[in-house]
Amino acid sequence: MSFHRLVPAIVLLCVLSATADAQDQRDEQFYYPGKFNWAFLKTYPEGGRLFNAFDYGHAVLYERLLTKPAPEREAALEKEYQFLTTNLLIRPPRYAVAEEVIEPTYAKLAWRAKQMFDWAHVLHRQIYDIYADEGLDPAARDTLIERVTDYYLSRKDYAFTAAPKSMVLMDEQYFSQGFRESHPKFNGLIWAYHWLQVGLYEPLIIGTTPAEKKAGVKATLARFWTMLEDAPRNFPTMMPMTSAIAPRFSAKHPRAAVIFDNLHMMHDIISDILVADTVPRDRKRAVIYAQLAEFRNGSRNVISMEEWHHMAEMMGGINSMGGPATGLLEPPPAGGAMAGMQYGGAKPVPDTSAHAHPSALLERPTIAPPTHEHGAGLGSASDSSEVVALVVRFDAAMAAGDSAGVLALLADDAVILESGGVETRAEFRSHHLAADISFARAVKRLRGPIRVRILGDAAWASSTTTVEGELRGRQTNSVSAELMVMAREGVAWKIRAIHWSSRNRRPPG
Amino acid sequence: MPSRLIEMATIRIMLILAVVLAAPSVARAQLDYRNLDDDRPTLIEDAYPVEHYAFELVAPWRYSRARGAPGGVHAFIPELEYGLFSNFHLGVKLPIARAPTSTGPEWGISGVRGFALYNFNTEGRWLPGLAVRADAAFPVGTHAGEGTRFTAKVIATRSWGQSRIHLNGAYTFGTDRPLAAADASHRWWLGGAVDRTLFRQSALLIIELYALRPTSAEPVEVNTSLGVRYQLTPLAVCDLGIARRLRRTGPDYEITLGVSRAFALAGLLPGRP
Repeated sequence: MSFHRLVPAIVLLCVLSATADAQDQRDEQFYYPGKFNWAFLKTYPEGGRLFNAFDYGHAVLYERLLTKPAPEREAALEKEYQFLTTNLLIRPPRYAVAEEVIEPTYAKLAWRAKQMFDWAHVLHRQIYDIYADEGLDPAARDTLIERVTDYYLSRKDYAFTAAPKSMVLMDEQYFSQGFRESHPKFNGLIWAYHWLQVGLYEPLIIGTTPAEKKAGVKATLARFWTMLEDAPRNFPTMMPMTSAIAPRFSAKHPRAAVIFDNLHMMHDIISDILVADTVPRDRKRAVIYAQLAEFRNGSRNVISMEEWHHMAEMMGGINSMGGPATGLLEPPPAGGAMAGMQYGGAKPVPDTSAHAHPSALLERPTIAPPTHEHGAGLGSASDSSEVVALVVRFDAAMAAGDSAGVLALLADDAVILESGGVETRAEFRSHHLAADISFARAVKRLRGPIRVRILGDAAWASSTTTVEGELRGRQTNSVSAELMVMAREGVAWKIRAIHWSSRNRRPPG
Repeated sequence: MPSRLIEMATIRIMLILAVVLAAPSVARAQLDYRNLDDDRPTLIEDAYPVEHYAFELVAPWRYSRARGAPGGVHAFIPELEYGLFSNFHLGVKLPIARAPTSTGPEWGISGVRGFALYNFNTEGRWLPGLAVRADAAFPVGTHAGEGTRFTAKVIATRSWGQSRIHLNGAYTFGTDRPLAAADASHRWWLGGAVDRTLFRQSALLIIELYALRPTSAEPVEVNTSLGVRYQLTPLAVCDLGIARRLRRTGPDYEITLGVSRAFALAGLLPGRP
């Protein structure tokens, strides 16, 4: 090779050497193969797609924390929060988001951290896929989950340890807690993500049939959506611990559960490092990488498994972490779970409420759990579950085009108020019912929480639903309010009145 | 091998690949649409290899028609890549082409190509992602040209948010001999491409400009291409590209259509920790 060809090569090598300490290798590795992969996205797209939106949320958070100066961060995060909660979470991407597109500066700064998170997220999703694969029996599922966990841990340079790390690492370092103190609302959203990411394992374990699992997943998703209502009032105030939110999963697969807690701690630690003035910009990468090394180490700053199991109680109990993913919810404290934190605009709500058992939400489209008013002489949780179930059956019959099913739920003297008119049951059958069914079948509906109140043998359920879609060439993007009045007839509830109204929605910002 | 037999074999290979590509195995998936492979749908590739332990099966078809040529060339170029080590993959291509001959268009194998790509680094604050690739094209088949050719390529990828820029430069060693009818190793080529990720649609748009000299005796071509890669399912990516010459020589038009799928074999993965 001649000298003039050698010079550029030498220059290139010098540049490479000089910058080698700031370079990471790509180091991507394929995940564990098997037919189970993608079963969750296929069977539970409402959950699988939501995780894609969560990836965006995590990524954009780091990018904004890293690139925005402190005075501009809150406004930037608020803008992203609005985009997430009014747009991306409602219409999440079909497939995973290329995070380096969303967090280009952060990915260049700390690629290894991104890879470590990606690798743990792969484990998260594969376990969901295993639970969603109906071709596997419970024993095979448990064996396979341990196998994919082995595979995950075999990559020692990128795996979080399966030994529980001390909370001291998250809470008591010189940079700790800065993010949650300066940006509590976004922090609450991230914790709500983490709550759902571990909480969704529970209905998949509890359910014994595909229908039960589906209903349980929808109910857990509904609880997540409830957290987003009136935010940040209902967000977790403590980092959700897998042992508390997913106790059955944690008992079956403690290694994976610990890995996820370590992952979620590391999420918070990186947020703190990025926001901390005490970590100068040119030190952030080194500090992040030191923490990654700490979280790969299973012998330093670890706690016992017994301590880990009791950690949630020590941190304030499950209710401070967003509540259980399944089963009955305890009434939140007055003013909401976040009442003790300083949030602008958070309004205490005078009434306390409880939530019906999610078994009442069988085959319900994405609906938040119902609330019902407590008080002497008022209905039981069982009553409210039945009322919610009636709303759900009515919805399902409309969506299925089952006009007979719809009419069977209406009392003989039922009245339907819509479009400025009042119709009897018979008039509804011959006039509006067909159009309402066509509409219900043509559009995508996302119902918010159903509020149920019961007084003796009378009950009323109110809710709002966002409606999007196209019918006969016309685009619809609206919010619909619904009030159903029901009465108990013998042992069953019947609909005595329905009132619908709607308004156009503003396009999401 | 007679052209008719090659044609039949090509159809069989395409059918087998179609079955494999449609099978419910595992794929890296979801983000494959961002992996720019060479010639799919544009000439330029990105600096990143397939993942460690991953196989990627690629089945592209191309039709190319050069200015003044008696007929176009159909090429079916099945390709298999394997992430043998971290940041390193090996691959093999078996181009099969239907090209004009003195007795009319005939099907024939257009050489066998083996290659290896090594990525030095992912992009950081200062450096782009950098990779080198080495190809060996062997003269196997009636449309393969003459002689074994070795090509070295340097690849760089740099991103700005949703957009990336890729630079590729390749040089083929050895004497000038007749080239293969499809997937030929040109004396040199140099090109740049810009792509844009549409993350909600899981799609990638690409535009490229490149210059190449097929052999030392031929003029330099300057061509441009447009392409799109789209994540069809979590398991499969399809791509579509068109190219056109900007000077007197080069393709009047070239159309590329392909589908790819990644998978892994559990038996090749590491055991317990």
